[in-house]
Amino acid sequence: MKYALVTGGSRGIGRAVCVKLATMGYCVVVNYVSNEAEAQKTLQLIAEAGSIGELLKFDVSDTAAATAAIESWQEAHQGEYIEVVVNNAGIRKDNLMLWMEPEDWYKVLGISLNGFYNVTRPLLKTMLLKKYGRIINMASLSGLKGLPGQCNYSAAKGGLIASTKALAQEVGRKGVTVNAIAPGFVKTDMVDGLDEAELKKTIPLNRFGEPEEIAALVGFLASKEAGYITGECISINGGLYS
Amino acid sequence: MMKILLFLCLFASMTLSAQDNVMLDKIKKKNAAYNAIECAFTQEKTIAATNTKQHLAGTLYFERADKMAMHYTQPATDLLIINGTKFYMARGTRKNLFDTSKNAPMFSLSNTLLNCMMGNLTDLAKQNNADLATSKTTKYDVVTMTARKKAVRGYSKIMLWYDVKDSSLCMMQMDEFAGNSTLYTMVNKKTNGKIASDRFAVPKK
Repeated sequence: MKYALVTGGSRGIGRAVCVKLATMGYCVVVNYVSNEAEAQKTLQLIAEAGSIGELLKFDVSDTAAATAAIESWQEAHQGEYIEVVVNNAGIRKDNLMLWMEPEDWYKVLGISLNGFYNVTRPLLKTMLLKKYGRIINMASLSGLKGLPGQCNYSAAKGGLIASTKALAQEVGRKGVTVNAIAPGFVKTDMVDGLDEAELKKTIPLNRFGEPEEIAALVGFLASKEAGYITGECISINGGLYS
Repeated sequence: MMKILLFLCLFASMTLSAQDNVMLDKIKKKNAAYNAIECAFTQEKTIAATNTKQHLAGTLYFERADKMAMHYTQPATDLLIINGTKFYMARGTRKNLFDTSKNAPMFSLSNTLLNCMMGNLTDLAKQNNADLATSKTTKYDVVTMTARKKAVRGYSKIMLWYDVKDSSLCMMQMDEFAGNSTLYTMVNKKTNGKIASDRFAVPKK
């Protein structure tokens, strides 16, 4: 059985990614931190897609919790390994820098950037030993361009893109690819509260993206066909920024 | 109109006929009387990629509701034990012990094997997003469980042959999406006898 882990897999882009990987034959390990009902819904969609899923509850920003959860998974799956990891978990706590509270800065960086480290590091050793792995990091347009009101989010996603490029050079010789995806506006609860009608006027394709469109790109990067792509950050934003 | 037709087609594909339900109920009820089964088995695995067949054999032990063991004599190195949430598999020199409460694919396999032995097929089909169909021969009540969705991994179809008289499982064919197929045949069944607990003991790795 091939395994893929998706952090923040209970909703939005993470859920669409879980379903896509399920259609590719992966047993999908769905990480979530609090919303069990939504995580269960994702499991059901994985089953409907013809595969099987497992829930793995832990806070990606907590190093000890992430390590313990992954070690426990490895103990229960002797002889198997997670060959695809999608570091998707992320939150927004927008504010102008002047009014941004320290906890909002650290929380956003903790999940997106520290989460990438906390989850990837324990999985990396086996990928290197098996000489195959796919690490896909969910960055953002905000990490490429920088968006006002998102100094924390831009920093986290910008850091994630830089770390993607660095890690790709460390592990490429061992058959492990590391790439990032930078979505623009995508119809999930992450864009709740934004003025879609106004914002889409600024997008050449004149619409927000669908989670399934992001998942399709993740699916390609996770596939063997994408074996010569590494260290890249691929934008998927309807032409909003290039 | 199209939507109604689609709904009716979907409903028809998911609904069992009265005849199907009678057979499924019969299998479930008769098997409820079996707390233990011991029998000889043969296993024929067809590998699609190489078009080769493997022939294995041994003794199968089952104890309701969560114990099953396949002690192979051919080859003697192989062993499969399900005991509660423990799932032990030895294939040649490769030995693995899984905790099915934390391992969904192994839980699915364990759940499938146990429920096929117990004739709990309606629930099993529901859990596996599969459709059930029944047919009859002079010797067997035949149940076919077909996955609703094409997948890359797992079983596309499971066919089960239950003895028409006592409803005990006689043959089970598991077809994988990858094209491989395994046929188990169970003979010389002894039901409700005492099975030594060491038959289900999980070896230390």
